[in-house]
Amino acid sequence: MFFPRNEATNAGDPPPSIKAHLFKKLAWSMAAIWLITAMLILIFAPVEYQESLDRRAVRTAQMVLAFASVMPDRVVQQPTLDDVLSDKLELEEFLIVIRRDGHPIYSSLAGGLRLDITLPLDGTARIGSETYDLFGLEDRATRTEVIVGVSKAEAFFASVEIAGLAIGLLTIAMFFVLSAVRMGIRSGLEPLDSFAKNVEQRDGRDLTPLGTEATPIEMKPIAMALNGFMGRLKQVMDQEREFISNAAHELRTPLTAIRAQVEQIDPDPEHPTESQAIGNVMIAIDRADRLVHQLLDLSRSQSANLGHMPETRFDLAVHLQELMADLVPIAEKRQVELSLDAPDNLFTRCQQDLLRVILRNLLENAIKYSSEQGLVAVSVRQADNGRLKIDVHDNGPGLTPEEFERAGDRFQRLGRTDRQGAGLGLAIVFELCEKLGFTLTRISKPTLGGLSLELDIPGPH
Amino acid sequence: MRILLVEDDPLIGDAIRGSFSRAGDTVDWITDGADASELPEIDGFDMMILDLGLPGKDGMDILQEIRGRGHFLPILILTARYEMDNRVRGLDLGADDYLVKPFAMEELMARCRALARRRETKQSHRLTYRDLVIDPAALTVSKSDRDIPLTPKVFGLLRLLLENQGRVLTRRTLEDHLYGWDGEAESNTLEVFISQIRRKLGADLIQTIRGVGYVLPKE
Repeated sequence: MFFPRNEATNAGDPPPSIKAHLFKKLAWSMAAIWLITAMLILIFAPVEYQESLDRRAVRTAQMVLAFASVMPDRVVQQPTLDDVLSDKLELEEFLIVIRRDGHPIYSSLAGGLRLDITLPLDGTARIGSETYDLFGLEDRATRTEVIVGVSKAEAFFASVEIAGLAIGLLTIAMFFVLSAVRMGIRSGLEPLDSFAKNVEQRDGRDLTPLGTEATPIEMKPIAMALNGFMGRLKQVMDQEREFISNAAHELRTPLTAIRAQVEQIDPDPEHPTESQAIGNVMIAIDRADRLVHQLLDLSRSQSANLGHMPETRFDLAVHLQELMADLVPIAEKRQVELSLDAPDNLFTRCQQDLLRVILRNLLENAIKYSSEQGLVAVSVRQADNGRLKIDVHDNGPGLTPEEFERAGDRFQRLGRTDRQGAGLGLAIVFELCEKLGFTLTRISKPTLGGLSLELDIPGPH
Repeated sequence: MRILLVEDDPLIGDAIRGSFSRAGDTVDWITDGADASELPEIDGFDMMILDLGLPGKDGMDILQEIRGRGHFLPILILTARYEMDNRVRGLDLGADDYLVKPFAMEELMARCRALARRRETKQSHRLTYRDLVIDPAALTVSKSDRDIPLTPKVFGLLRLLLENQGRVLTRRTLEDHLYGWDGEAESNTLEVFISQIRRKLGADLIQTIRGVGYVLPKE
C-alpha cells in the first residue's frame, strides 16, 4: 500500500474530525440561541400576559357595568351575575365589585358581600393577603360603579406557567433539530467516506486518475489535487523506470566490449591458471548479461500498459519452439537437455512478448537450477475450460512451498545458493502473471524430481 | 572474406576486427554512420556488420538506404535494443540476421560464416561439411567421394541445416521450408525426412532437440 493510513500521531489525542467539529459548532450556537430565546420569553411573556389580562379586565368591567346599570335591585346575587355573563366572560379570575350610590351591591369575594371595604376606582388595593390591580368604571346616570380587580400573584404565576411551557417546548424542539443536524452532517459527509474508501481500495501501483464526474463540487479540489499528485508520482516512477531501462541498455555496450576483448586473449598453455581466470571472467560476464536482461524485463513488466499492447492469437507450440531453440546454447553450456511436448495447432490469445518474457525466465531458471547433465521438460495441454496449461519441469533440488511463496520478492535467492543469479527471475514472472491474469502454481508431485511449475494462460478465445 | 564493419565503439570494433583478421578475413572498419551509406564500392564487400546504435546516423536508416540503392550484400545487425519489434523491423528492412549485445564473438563469427555460405550456395558454390560435399546447383551430395542420392525435399532440408550449422532450426521453420505456408505437413513427415538423412549420411550428423527442432553441430 502506497499511502499509510493517517493515524493520529499521539495515542491520547484523537484525530480531528470534521463531523465532530461541525456538530459541536452547531450545538454551541443552538445552545446560545436557546438561552437567548429563553431569556426573551422570560422577560416578555409576563409583560405580554399582564397587558392582555389588563385589557380583558377593562373589557370585563365594561360588560359588567352595562349589565349592572340596568339592574333595579339594590343587591345583586352572584348566581344571577354568573348566569347572565358566564357564557361571555370568565369571571372567576377577577375580583368584581359593583357599587350603586356608593354602596356595594355585589362582590365576588368569598364570604359574600364585604361592604366594609372601600375600594378606589383604579390603582391597587390590598385585600387580605392578596394585592389587586383595579380597573373601575362609572355610569353617572344610574350612579353605578364597577371595579374589576386582577390578582397580582395569580397573574405572576400564570405568566410563569406560560413562560415555562414555552421554554419547555423550545427545548424539545432544539433536541429534535440537533438530531436532525447530526443526521444531516453524517449524510452530508458520506461522499467523503466513500471517496476515502475508493482511494483506500486502490492497488498500490494503480496511478490512474480518479473519476471526478460523480464527485461533489466541494470535494473536486481534493480529487483534482490527488490526481495531480498521482500524475506527478507516475511521472517520477516512469522516469525511474526509464532510467533503469536506459542504464541497462547502456550497460550492454561496455559488457559487449569486455566480452569481445576478453575473447581476444590467447591464454598461455604453460599457465593453466590464465585460461581458468579467463573462463571465470566469461562466467561473470554471462552473469552481468543476464542481470541486465532481467532488469530490462523487470522495468518492462512494471511499465507494461496492458491497454496499449495488442493481444495476438498465435500457435503456442511454435512460440515455445522458437524460445527454446534460443535457449539451447545456454542449456548446452550446462549440459542440460531440453525437451518440448506440445501438440500442433494449440492457439492462445495474449500479449506474445510478455508471455515470452515469462517463459524465458521460467526456462532460464529451470536450466540454471537443474542438476548437471540435467533435464528440463516443457509440456503443454488444454484444460477442459479451454485455457492452456504449460508445465515446466526440472530435475534440480526444487523449492519448498514456502520458498515458492517468497520467490516473488526481488533479489531473494532461494534454494541452493551456490548458483549465480540475482533472484529476479520469479519476481518478474509473478509480476507479469498478476498483470496478465495468468496463474503460476507449484505442482506438489514433480515429474522429474525437481521443481515443477504450471502456468495457466488463456486459450484462443 | 571481406567484411565492412560499422561500429562506433572502439573496443568492440577492435575485438571484432582482431578476431576476423586472425581467422584470415579482411575487415574494413568505419565508426561514423554517416560515412557508411556513402561508400561507393559497397558491393566489393562480401558482407556487412552494422551496429544500430550509431552517432551521426541511425543504423536503421543506413540499412534502408543501402537496400534502397539496390545493394544486396548480406547484412548482420548488432543491437543493444531489447525490444522485439526493433529486431523484426530490422529484418523487414532487409537485414539478413541480427545479434543482441552482448554477444559471444564465436556466435558472431558463426553467423557471418552462415550468411556467407548462404550467399555462396546462391552463387552455386559447393559446400563442405566434414566428409560431405554438397553441390546446390547439381543437387548432389557426396560422402567420402561417393554420391548419395537424395530427393529434392530432403536435399533442401540438409542444405538449410548446413547453411545454419550450429543453430537450432525449429520444427516449424523446417516444416515451412518443406511445404511452404499452405502445405499441410503430416505430423511425422519431418521425422521421416530427418531419419532418411541420418540413415544415408550418418546417425550422429543431426542432433535432435526433442519437440523443439534440429541442429547440425558446428564443424
